[in-house]
Amino acid sequence: MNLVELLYSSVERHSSRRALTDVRSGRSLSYGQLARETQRVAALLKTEGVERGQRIGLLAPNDLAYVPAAFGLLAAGACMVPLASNLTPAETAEIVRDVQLNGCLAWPKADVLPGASGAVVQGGECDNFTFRWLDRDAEAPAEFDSLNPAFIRFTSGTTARSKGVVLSHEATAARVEAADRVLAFSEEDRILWVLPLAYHFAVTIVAYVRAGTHILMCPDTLPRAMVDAVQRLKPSVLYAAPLHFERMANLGPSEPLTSIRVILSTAAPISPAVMDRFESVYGVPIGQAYGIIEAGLPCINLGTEGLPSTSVGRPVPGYEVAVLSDDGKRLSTEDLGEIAVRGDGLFSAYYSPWQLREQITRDGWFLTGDLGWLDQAGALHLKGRKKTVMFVAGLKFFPEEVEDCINQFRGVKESRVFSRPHARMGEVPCAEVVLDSRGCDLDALKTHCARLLSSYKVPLEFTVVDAVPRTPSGKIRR
Amino acid sequence: MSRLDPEEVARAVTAFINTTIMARSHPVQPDDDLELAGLDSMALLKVLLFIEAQFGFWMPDEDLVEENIKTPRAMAAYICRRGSQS
Repeated sequence: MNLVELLYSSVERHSSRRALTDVRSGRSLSYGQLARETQRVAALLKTEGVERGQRIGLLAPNDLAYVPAAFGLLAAGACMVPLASNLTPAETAEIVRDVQLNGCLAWPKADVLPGASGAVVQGGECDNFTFRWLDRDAEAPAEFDSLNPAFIRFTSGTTARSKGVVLSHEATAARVEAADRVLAFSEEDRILWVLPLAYHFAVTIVAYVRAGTHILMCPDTLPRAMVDAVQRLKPSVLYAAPLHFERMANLGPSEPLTSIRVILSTAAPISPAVMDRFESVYGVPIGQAYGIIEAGLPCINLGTEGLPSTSVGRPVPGYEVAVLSDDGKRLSTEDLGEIAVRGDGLFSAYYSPWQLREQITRDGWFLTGDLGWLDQAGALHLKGRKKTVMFVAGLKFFPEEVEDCINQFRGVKESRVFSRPHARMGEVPCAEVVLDSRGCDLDALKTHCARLLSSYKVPLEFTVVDAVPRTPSGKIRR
Repeated sequence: MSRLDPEEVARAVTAFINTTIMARSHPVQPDDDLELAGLDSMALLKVLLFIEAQFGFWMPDEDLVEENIKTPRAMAAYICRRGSQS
């Protein structure tokens, strides 16, 4: 199968209905126009010789044009690699290398990647998008093509080890189907969209398009603008990050947001206090989902089924969730252990280094690295994580990546990146550095980090210390 | 808090943006439109953290309106108004 078929079947049912609207400019694309724009992009890529199984990057901002560009890549048979626009050139170059990117489709204002001069989309929504080959003949691992890959996705952070989560067309469709069975999207739904498409197109936007919803893209994500947009445009669905909800709740008394039937928080854990405050201000409960890039949304708590608000909900149809002990045994209800997930929505492989899902899972179970427990009602509760991931305002990253960057700087012997709780941001990153005899200028070190890392990863404070604290086994203590 | 000089504050905000956010692209000037220069909502949060650390208050969301955040100079004017109230 190919996911673009889900778009085409929506077009048959809803050709003249609006698919996308840019809230700021008021411009819209109907389903019929979205399909035509998709075909325009696909035609250019096919003319250029793009073939099934090639890894093609998409570098485009959060805008209407993103959607036909992405569907166009899929329609041409390419495996899409989203290149988020907030990545630094160094971070983008790393992805290009890790997935042996064959080519890239980029919006007109994108920083130019190296490569042959490109072919340009003429007219339409993606006017002046350029396609260029980077390494046309780069070959993927032998099993790659047989997976029917649709996407290679990177978390907003990257680990030192496994990079590039490969998702097949079938696994994406299974995720869409599973989410839809709980969220029940329909052509009556109007979605207020504030999240980065580079991280969410793969499943969420495909699900909205399959259901024939109307997606309202809100480029302004300041809290007042979001509340105004909800009151003015009356969306029925709002999917956003904890920080969006926290800041909306902080604005204080408001008319209830009566148009909304589903509010879902994603990207990072949300605090119960924020959920309570939001509901008391706006009269709508916030639901939350358990999202993992390798597994999709295996649990959803809509907030309307009487489950504790601290739970991420019961497993969604199509998924099984278990809590395992350190030796891999299934634990009973209310026992704390590592969360494992099984289902058709699981990822297909890691790209770099290449590992098939079957090599990583145990009896089909994917071990998430998150700790949690299941309650008597079968709902999952999260309780920390085994990995060292940090969340800054809903964006994820691993401190090791920042330490690697700091340690490259002349005069630094070693470093430790850790988080400090912050009332508004969740966590903020801080760094301790041990200097060698040459010493270094901390301001220059900060600028070095800002050059190579996305701004949210750059430590707010750098402190010089004599030694980095370590555990008895030699790991950095955080 | 000693009296703040809007010029000096604008210079400090501009310098912060240029060293920690715009380190890899064109530096901004005090009167540049920050959204046009490419500052996204995450970058704005970094600026709010800077203001909190340097000037001792968190700029509340209701004040995040264009006239207060459009340019480094607009931010400086806001910071000085707040500073003189406390």
